[in-house]
Amino acid sequence: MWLNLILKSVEQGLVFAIMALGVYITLKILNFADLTVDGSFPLGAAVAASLIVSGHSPFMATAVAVLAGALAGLITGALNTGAKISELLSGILTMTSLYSINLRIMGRPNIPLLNEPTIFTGLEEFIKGRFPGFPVDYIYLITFLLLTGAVELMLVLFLKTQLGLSLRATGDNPQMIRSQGVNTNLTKIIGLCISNALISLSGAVVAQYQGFSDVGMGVGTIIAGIASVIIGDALFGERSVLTSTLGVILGSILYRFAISLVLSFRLAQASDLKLFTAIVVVIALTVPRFKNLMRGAIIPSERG
Amino acid sequence: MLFLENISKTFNPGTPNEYKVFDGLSLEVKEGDFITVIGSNGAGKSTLLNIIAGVFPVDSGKIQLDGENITNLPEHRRAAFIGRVFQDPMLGTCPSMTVEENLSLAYSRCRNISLRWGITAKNRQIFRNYLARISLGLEDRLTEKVRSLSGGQRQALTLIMATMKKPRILLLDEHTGALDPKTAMVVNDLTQRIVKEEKITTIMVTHNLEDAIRMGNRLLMMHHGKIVLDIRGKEKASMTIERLLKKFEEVQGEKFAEDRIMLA
Repeated sequence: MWLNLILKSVEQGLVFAIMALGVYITLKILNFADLTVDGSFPLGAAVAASLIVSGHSPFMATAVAVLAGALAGLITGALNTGAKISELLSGILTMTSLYSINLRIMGRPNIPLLNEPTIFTGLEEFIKGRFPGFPVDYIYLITFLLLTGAVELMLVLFLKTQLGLSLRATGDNPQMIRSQGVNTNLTKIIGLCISNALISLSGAVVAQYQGFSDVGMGVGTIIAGIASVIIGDALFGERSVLTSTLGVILGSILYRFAISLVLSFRLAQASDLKLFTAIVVVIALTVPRFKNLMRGAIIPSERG
Repeated sequence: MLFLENISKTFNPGTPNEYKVFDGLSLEVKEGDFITVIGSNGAGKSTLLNIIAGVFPVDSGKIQLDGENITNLPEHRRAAFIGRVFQDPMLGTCPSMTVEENLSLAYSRCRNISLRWGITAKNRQIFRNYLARISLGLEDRLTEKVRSLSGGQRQALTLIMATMKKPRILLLDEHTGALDPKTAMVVNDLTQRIVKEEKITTIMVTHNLEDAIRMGNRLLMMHHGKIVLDIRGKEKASMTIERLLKKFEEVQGEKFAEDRIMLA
């Protein structure tokens, strides 16, 4: 039972880590509280599932889902920078409209994918044909390791480019980076596009992994993402982009592991999970503050 | 080279907080000028710099640089030819990024939206050389986060970032105002050295009268949104604090008042 529980947690942790990395981009790098997430995650699932059941290649369907997510980010960015609507409200507006859009895309609230080809069935056939002795049970784990690893690698490399540095500076000190000639509206929009593209990719893969797309599957995604980012932060701190992004991935795995434990020991029902997660995030956010308060009372802080 | 013509600017127009800073302000800056600006509280010194940099638009008037009308150019486009250092050491750098990452942002000023590497071995050597010039030991701390630097080190770094791609005009907004006197002197010396070596046209706002007299070739005194004194050349070279204050009283018929003014 333990082996299976750990395997499932790692699988889920890795696939949801792509979403958490998207949340990391807005929350930590851009310093932008983007709530589009709860809409762009099911958007990816809706687009991928609809295209798959209408007979398109699952790989093409996933790629289109990524583009759809980028578009959602673009809209939130345009609402915020162009129409000057606050960050929170821009995200909420996009998220809310996406609920209707996702229903339109799917045409019904739920699309099962159980007997449809997915990126996994494609890979399974390929591997069975080439390496007959391969343990098929691990196909998800290996796919997710490769996929999340590729996303992580590309993100870390991207954040080292001039554009990546400008994005980080936009969240850190927008006035300074404007005085260095960067249009912070543009960098914000680019960041939101990349973030929601990743979130949508995660949604598309999750739908194929769990075997269905559901219009309600996005509720609470942002909180799960924030939880992963916070756990990663607590474990690795903010030493460098590489360590903090690896922290997010590990945070996502630990988060899924915690949830699996709670469920398998029947400490809560599946329907209690959102509450459970919210409480975890509240604790994670407030504990460091208490710690700092206590530390400040004993040892004066560095800045003085 | 830089012309401000009939600039008017009112903040919060039509509200109880309406505040008219400039009403027809004009200024001509010549190539190679190093202008120091002093003035009473609310005289509009910082607003003057912000208007040149394009932080907010003017209500009316014209700003011209090298014969080109830049009145409606947004801030990030003006950054191509304007270097700035702010009073708050926190404002000029990104605290959670490293020294070399900050320098890289400045080095690729206005070319920052590209997928080229931010930092290359070649750039790193260039950054090291720049930092070695100011002898603060920063050349050995390239990969440290700027957060860990002192206020003076951060201002020195900001100054280098503002000038490493030679700007057409350098705007210093009380850039030593938040530093202790000794560090302020180091940063001021560095400022004079860079401005002189690179021959950069500079406008420096300060509340230190001595610095204002000692540095630069032209001194402006502002009061209620107007330039009330414009002292250059020989007259500036022979200026003293007493004579400057007396002159202000003659022109304005009132005593000079600035809470933070430093007479020496």
